[in-house]
Amino acid sequence: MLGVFSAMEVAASGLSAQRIRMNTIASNLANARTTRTAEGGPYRRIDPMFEARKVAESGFGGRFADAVATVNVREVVADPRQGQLVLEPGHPDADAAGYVEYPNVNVVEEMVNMITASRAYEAGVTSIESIKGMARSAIDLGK
Amino acid sequence: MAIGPIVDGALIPLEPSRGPAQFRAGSESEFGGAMRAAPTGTPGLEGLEALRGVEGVDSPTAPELGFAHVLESVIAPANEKALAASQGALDFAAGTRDDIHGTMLALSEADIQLKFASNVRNKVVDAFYEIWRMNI
Repeated sequence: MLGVFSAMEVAASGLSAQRIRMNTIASNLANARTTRTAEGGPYRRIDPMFEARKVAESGFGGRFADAVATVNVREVVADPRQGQLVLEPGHPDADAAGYVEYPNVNVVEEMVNMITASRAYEAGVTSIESIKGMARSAIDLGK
Repeated sequence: MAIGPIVDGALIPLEPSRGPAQFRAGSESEFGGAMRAAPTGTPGLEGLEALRGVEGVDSPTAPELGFAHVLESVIAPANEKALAASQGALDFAAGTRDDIHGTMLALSEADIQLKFASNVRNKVVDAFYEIWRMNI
């Protein structure tokens, strides 16, 4: 039902999504200078793709069955952008011309993403706090 | 509800045979109707005839709407949520579960459900004493 607990569930899905995003950002920052991976080549920046998923159960007589959606991480995709080429002939991962391809991670961009992810998480927590406050007020009606 | 006129003496035969636990909660309309019908007759025991046939007043067994059932139906989900929450907390502490917010949300849900249950319990007990103290 579209009640207190389903509102919490929706907010919680947002928290999960932001947590996964935070994981990808941490991965990108940790591997900002990684030139070797199991697949070969430098590390590729990753990004989670979100999709909306309708809340299956419907409250209010089913009238809003299609309205509310949780967020779901569909997949984590690699950024196709070209990494920075640096001339370092002595580097073990340098190509024939002496260039090393560094990951396509822009640290400043990742910091911006980190701020938005952490603010989005805070927003989700705040909405859960409000939902809890509403439920408590409703219970206090009975006093 | 228009209880006033029938309170003095009219309810005596009802009480000793069945405890208040079998009193129907939630049938306000039927019961209210019966109560209103009673005072029009004789003010003595004969007035009770109007209550015959009213479900829950007449039959000593009205199990699914008794106080006990109301309490049980409210406390069972609260208990379920509390069990789920404590299991989640244990899993998190043991390291087999890693979503902090899911664990905390389960705890909050259990807290809300328990507060609700305890409020309903207070209301039900209040209602019980209200009937218990009724002048007869």
